[in-house]
Amino acid sequence: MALARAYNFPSLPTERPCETPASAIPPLWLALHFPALALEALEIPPGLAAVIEAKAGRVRIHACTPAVAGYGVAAGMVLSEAQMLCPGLAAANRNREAERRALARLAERCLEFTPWISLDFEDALQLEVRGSLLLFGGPEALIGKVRQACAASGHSVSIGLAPTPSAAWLLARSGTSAQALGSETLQSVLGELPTGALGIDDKLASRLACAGLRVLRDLWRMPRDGLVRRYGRDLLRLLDEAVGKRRRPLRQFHAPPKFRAERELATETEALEYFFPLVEALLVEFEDFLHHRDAAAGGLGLELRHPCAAPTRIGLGLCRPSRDARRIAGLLRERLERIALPGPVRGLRLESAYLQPFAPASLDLFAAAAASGECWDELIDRLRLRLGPQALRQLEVRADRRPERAGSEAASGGSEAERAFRPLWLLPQPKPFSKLGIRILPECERIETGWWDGEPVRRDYHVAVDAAGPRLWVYRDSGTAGPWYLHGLFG
Amino acid sequence: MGALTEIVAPVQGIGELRLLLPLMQRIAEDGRRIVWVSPPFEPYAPALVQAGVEIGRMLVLTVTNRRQDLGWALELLMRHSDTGLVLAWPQALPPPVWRRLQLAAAEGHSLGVMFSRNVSDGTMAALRLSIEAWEGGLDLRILKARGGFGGARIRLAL
Repeated sequence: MALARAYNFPSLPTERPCETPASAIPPLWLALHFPALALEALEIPPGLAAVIEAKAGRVRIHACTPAVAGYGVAAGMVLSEAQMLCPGLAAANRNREAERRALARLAERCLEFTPWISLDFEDALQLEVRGSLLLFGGPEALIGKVRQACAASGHSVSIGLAPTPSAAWLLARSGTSAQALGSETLQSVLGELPTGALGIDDKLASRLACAGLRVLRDLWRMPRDGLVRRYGRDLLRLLDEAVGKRRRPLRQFHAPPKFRAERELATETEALEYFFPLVEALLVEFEDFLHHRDAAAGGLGLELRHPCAAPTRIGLGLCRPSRDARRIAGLLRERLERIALPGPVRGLRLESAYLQPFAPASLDLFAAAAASGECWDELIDRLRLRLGPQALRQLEVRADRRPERAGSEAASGGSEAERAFRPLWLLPQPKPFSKLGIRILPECERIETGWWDGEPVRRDYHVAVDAAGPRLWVYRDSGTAGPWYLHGLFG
Repeated sequence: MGALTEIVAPVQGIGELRLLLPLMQRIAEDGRRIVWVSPPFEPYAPALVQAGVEIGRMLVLTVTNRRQDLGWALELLMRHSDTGLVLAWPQALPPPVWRRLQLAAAEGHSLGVMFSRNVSDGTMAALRLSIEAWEGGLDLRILKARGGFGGARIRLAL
């Protein structure tokens, strides 16, 4: 959801819903259909894997790899049936958000072919390419370049070219290499496509098949009013959209705003105090950019170019999005002071990493506002920047009986806390120890769990007293006379 | 509030944390942060919850390069007005760093607790305690304190 909001800046001109490329020449649409988008968005490696989705109360296969399809598994199959056919099947839940993100990334990439792109069709991009044909040297060359771009992003694609978006989409989904450049040839190209390709539901498709209407040509031969009466208005709408008798309004894709600015230094220098004012100037420019779009930056990248060495890149992530140039400058300065530059700096480039709508800090009505000075998030940013992102951890309790898992990891709960007495210090790894000078108290707590996830634990925990003072939390495997392990200290 | 405390304990695990639990509880209730800086072992969250300490405002910071970053991180934390308590296990801090930390703690109204192993003279802590274990509790000796409690011995049952 966060990304969906990221594109929606209130200051952007609101687009009209019925926007179509305005020109006298008829448009030409290139539809890119990504048949394996669900798999590619989740970055599932080729193998026995499938993406599942709950539909009408049953878990069904949404997409599967070719290896799985070889076992006879097909989209729409119930998961248990698929698992019977293909025993080693690994199923992953469909992630629509990841698919949408992948599609948006592809759209951004395709902006080099045309400025007019729409994401309104499922699993597909619509590119209006009439104006691009000449530049890219004809439809074949353009399609080749688009294919290359998609392959470079790791997506398999099928492409359709037609004067209406629906027809291009139909051709792309059918996988045939047929194309229609003008509307006069459109009907003959589409005629041989099966009726199921229209994207209608299975019930309607089987009804059409029963009536002997197998391909689109059969449908066009039927009287229009009869089609509406028998099969509903939607079928006729789909047919009309395909041949261009009816226009389907599309929304244009806008790339999310990005900030990029460069500065050249008058003289090459290594001294931070000479080039840092330029960084600050860039940051002020960035702040203005963010202000005008009512946005905040979640991170940014600074690149320092050197005359005879690879550029130094500094990435900065903020734990709370900000648009305060002074705060970002402080963080960048701290980072720059601590790295050794390979040589004098010749130029700077600042780039925004990702932008979010600006959310001002909320104030408390009743409690007095915190005294001025930096807020806690800024402190966290500074610590993280200098000590590394893994340096900070939050303590958390997890509902797991295994002591090593109950603490300091994700998720809420407090059930473990209600049980027996626990030590304040836990050793990261249980450590074997000798019993010399240690008295082990007879009370014992048995912890036996974890058989389901391959790390079973079956231990008897005791409290022990060291002659030197500390009280220890020790265990040995239940029912054995095996070695004792030290697991905690009652600090 | 706003000072450094040094706790001298010969071994870890004799009750140095139990001594501080009521303090942690109070600070967490006030809504201030508690930061563990490079603790020798894992602070075990379920035990802290059992003791009634709110762990939502606790943070564990790991400093890998102690010589370079420990003093800096401690000062930054103590100077911040949100920090209530900083627990640290510095092996050796030079006197100027102690002085800076003392100032930072006073400025941020935060409490710094430094654990050390042996009684070494010359630390600038406002309060210095030494603890030793005895059967069922702690033997606490005040080495130095503002207000003239120096030299007192207390036996605490924990």
